[in-house]
Amino acid sequence: MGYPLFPLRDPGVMTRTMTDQMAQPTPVMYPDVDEKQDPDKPWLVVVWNDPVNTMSYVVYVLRKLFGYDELKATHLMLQVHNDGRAIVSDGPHEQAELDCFRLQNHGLWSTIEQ
Amino acid sequence: MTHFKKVRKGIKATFSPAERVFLSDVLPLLAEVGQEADDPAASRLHVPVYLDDPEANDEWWRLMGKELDDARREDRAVYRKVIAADDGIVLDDEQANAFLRVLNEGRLVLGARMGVEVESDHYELSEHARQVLDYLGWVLEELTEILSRSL
Repeated sequence: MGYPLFPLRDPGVMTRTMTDQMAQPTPVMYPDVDEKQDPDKPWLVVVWNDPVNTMSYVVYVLRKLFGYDELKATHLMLQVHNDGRAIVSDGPHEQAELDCFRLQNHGLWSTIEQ
Repeated sequence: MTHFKKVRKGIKATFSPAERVFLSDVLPLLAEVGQEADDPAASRLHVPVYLDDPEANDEWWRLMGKELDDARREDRAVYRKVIAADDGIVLDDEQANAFLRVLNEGRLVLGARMGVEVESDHYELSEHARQVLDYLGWVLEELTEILSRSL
């Protein structure tokens, strides 16, 4: 099964701008940054408690997707179970979106936040 | 009895004829998700990814939704092969994981349709509903256990 390639943001924005304006004075380019995003803060992937997913399945998925050992995966699963949610990974935006996709594909209720 | 056995080339899955008939019912169940308005199962399989940013959420689902549908469709094709095998079938790691994901997806859909929102709702289910969820859970646990051994 192939996972999608990232980034999600349209990479053609920069390419088109540079190509189309070659004969004109070079404009100041500002990065396409969402005002809601802080580039210095990591993105967090959160798994939420679910009354149907079994505990051992959640542990297995966390071990398989993130390479966690059984102890860490079990700790995260229990955090999800007891607290309602747990941060299971963090990193750049693109990685968080990919991690979220992989978790969704395994039926875990996952979200992204910063 | 156990349905899965580690063999040299992977994991052998074997189900009785009655179980294969039962397991085959999961596929139409999944195929019809979202066909009815306000289907709780559709909501469960399409949860918001950005809770406080509807625009980013719509963008994520616009770009990733098809990939997710395709991945789920591929998993169901593997599942279909497994339940069609009348003398068992040997699965490689990826196929076994595909089968596992469909079992889990089936439980999620059933749970959503049965109104299971918190753990204690399990005790409110009818005997039949609980047996269906428990059977799928039993098979899922068996396969999870055998797959976990090779991590």
